[in-house]
Amino acid sequence: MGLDLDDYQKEITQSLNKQGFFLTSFKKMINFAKNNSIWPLEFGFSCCAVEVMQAKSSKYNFNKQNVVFQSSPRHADLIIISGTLTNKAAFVLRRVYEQMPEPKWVIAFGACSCGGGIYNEGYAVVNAADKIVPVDIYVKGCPPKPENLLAALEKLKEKMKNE
Amino acid sequence: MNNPFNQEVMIKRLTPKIKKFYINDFSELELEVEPLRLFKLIVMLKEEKTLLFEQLIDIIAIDYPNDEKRFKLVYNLFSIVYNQRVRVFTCIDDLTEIKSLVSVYPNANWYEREIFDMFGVIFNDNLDLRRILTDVEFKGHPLRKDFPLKGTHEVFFNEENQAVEYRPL
Repeated sequence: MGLDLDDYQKEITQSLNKQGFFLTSFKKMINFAKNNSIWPLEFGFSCCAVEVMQAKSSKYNFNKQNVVFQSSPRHADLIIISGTLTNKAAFVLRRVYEQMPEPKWVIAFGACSCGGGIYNEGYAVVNAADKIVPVDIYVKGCPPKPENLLAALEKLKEKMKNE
Repeated sequence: MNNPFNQEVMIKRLTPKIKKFYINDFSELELEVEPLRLFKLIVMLKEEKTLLFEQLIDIIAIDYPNDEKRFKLVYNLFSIVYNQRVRVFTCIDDLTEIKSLVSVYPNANWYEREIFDMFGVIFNDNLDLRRILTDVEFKGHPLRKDFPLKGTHEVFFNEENQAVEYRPL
């Protein structure tokens, strides 16, 4: 298989091979499920959204890493805010965020959604996405590469494990 | 090609209706007109058989904050039949209202809404004069020179009311 197994998965396979069963805690099992099936919703605005689209395409095939992009907020557990968040869109973003089921996470992708970027002083722009929704992972860059999104997802998985 | 359009005849025909005229580097006409006469002039430019400026390309506003009549409105017209362009402009202050062109050119609606949104110029007889680019509760007119760069209000999530709201900067 092309996938790298993490420590927990190795533990399970070893235990299964040796004894035919394995013992675990419920919390660990839930975290295992969360970790390995991230369903993000792309909330894209401008040039950063194109980089997220690249992440979906064949070169950086994110589906292979169990990341399945969703088109409805009701099916998603992660929202990727990519691009400049305008005042008009801030109301929509909050509504979409509240439609997502718990537990949910947020990635701010790119300089604009992290801290305003080059539009920081604009009259129609929200300076940072965390004024509207709580953000878990900030990805810097203008725009960041798809690899940075992959790195952010790895960071998010670590955060999920420790919850 | 034999183009029956004659600029000199056109200037002679229009002279009593306008304030001044210029001819720019591309030998196109620019007409300056009083705000009250603008509507009639544009109707004439559209309907006269020898002119037929049937297409409204754009309406532009410029802000000169030091002038008494601070807003300059520029109407770009195009004649498909004669392949000619003309630019009509007029100057108004911020209290004057100007007659809307929606009844002549339906596409003027969105241009006028943009100018109302960005400069606060009010167009009479435009029944749909709402903001077009900024959000509904936006305060002020951003392309006026005295508008602060950061704006006057910002959007944030209010934890107490659990709603996205405005607050003054």
